[in-house]
Amino acid sequence: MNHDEQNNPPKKIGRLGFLTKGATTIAGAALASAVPAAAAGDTNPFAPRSPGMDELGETVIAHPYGMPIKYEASVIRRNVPFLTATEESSVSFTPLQDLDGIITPNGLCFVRDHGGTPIIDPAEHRLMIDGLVDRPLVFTMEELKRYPSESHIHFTECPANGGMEWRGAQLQSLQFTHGMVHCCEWTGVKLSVLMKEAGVKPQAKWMLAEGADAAAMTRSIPVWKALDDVMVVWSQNGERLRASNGYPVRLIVPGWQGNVNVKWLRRLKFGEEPWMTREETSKYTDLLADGKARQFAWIIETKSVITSPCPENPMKGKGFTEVTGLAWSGRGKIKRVDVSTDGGINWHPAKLQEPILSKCLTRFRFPWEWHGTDALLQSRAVDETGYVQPTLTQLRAVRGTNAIYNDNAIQTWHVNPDGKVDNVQVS
Amino acid sequence: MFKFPKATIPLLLVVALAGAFVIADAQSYPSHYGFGTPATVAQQKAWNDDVNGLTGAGLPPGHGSVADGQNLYEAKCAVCHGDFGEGENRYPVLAGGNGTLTSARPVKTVGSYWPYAPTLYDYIRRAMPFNAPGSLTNDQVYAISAYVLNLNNLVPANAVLDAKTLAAIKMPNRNGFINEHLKPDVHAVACMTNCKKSVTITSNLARTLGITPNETGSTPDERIITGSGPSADAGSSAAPAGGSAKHVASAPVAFSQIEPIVAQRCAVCHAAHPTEAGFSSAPMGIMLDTPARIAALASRIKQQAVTSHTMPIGNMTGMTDNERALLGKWIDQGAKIH
Repeated sequence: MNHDEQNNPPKKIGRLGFLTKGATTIAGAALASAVPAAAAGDTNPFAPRSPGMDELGETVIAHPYGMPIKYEASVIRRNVPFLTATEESSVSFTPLQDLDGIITPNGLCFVRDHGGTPIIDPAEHRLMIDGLVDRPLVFTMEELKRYPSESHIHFTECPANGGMEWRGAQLQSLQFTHGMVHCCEWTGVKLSVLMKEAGVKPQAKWMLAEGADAAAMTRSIPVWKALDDVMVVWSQNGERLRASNGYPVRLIVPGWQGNVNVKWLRRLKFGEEPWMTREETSKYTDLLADGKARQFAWIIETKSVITSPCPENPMKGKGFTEVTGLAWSGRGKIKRVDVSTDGGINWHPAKLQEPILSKCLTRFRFPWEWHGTDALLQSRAVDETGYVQPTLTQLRAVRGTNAIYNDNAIQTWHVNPDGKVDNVQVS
Repeated sequence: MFKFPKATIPLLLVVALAGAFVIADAQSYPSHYGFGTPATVAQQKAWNDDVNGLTGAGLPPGHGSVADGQNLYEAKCAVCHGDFGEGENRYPVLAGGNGTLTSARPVKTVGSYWPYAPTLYDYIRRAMPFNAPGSLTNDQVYAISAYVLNLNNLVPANAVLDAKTLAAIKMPNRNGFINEHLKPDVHAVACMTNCKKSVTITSNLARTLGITPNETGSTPDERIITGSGPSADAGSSAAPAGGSAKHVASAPVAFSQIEPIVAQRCAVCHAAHPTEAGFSSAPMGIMLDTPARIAALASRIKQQAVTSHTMPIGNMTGMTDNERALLGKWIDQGAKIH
């Protein structure tokens, strides 16, 4: 299928994506497709009083902890049952298609567990710091929370996000192609403060972080990163961590692959060598075409995706459509996002929504006039280091198709004339 | 604007400076806090159970033989990982896979992929068996490690492993890893116009492949409707006697009715050796070619072929609605194969 002839909207669209008056008339005349015209409007009878006006509502304490209204009940995490052998060592995905802004509500943060979610009484939880330190220490949660705290907004992404798509477009869903990412405001103590308390010895070059789950998750982290910006956190988005996100305390390793952000943190051990745990050798390593594997590829490279339209958010009608999405980089701030409507032949700068923070999701928006014809939507992010998000072809040229992890390729959504949106891959 | 009489200004400054001094003292962060309790030697010993894969440091005293490991493995591991480490369903394959790392379908096992033998000990001890982590003794972990290495032809059948012998094993893929990766390995350029001559869709299977979980029968909306609306079970005094459909006995479905359906509609692809053209191995590794495998995957069959019609893909094998209903009934009755 050749899109060269069909997809050259830049020729018809002005710099800001708005059609000229003449072009609008032409587009308005071609109403043969199944897409509802924007002008069709609301056909319900007009009620003199709005629903909700005629009787008293619920009391202010009807829901001591508020939950979303029933009309938003489809906004939930979902899983792909065939991906994993069990639902304990598995993943559920953030519904990015339903979220606005950059913050992920706590109840919708993707969950990647390796031995299920433990339910831990904070009174019984302890964090130990040992190994190459002058003063091995044990902390209760109350003691930890006495330390000075900081709050920072960071994304966390499982490096397997998009891992199903290396060989071809398989999942017809933004939630399943990109939903292993969330973005929260984390509150806790800088790890460097605790390291000073314990007196980490100069010969310590690596730190082992261990979780208190059934997988006793362990990952090695270099001391330079631990001293840089790693946090030991107990809150997300203003409230205590959710059990599935690490309650009562977890590690946040900004910009690095999710697996090293160890949840239910019970121990930090300092040593001279990496531990070469199962999760950093047999898993979370990128197998290349030549049979070698990239290990310790921790940094989440610059990535972006259009969250609307997408397979779950088909076109609402011809005419003005705001294309919006998210961009992120494990190396710092997002500098620019470009959008293409013709599969990457021509690109246009999108508008970045503030705040634009380091190692944090950034929202972008792009005004688009859709004619009701085939279009291939893409977004491409550039971060402050100048790294440009690659195409899948560029990524495959270096990594092959067996890597599973660290797929940060440009995503293509095929907008069909009937308004449906497909996950596709292009040349 | 309010103005102080000139004479009061020096006095106010003094007060302000004194106040600032006190506040600044209270606001400074100390260089040491002293929270937490020194970890005792006993506490450190109790929690310090990690083994370094690279060096074997932390491997405890004790030993275990391949022979003991086989018995333990068959009792505690084979149900998921298969008798020979071949992996049941989607559970990890432990053995084999040699020479596959450069193929289109690499099989990453302990023998073909793991770089360090002590990592195997560390992982089994901390996380296995999956449903009873931490339940194995140190000797049992040595024995099971020995058996898994034997399944991979890395130690002989009469081997007994301890800290020294395990750390001495050189794994075949020891040099298969490249680290670390702090600099980008892909270098793209942000071209803006006429970046390529044409665009071709190279993969558009997602829409028709049918593997994306759909919401049929399992949407939260439906759960909420049944959950908050009048329920047949709630308020049983008002319900007519025996009124709930749940209580109506349905005729038992025999496995003999089920087996041919699965064989014709599913196992043409989902088998160790698929008969359907174009399939060289079972899709997603899911095999439905023995009664035990069909029973083990019953809940997934229900989800894929009864609750939703995700499977068969595009209904290429022509599964009928009656067959789907029969499968559902059999699974609801406990998916019995005898």
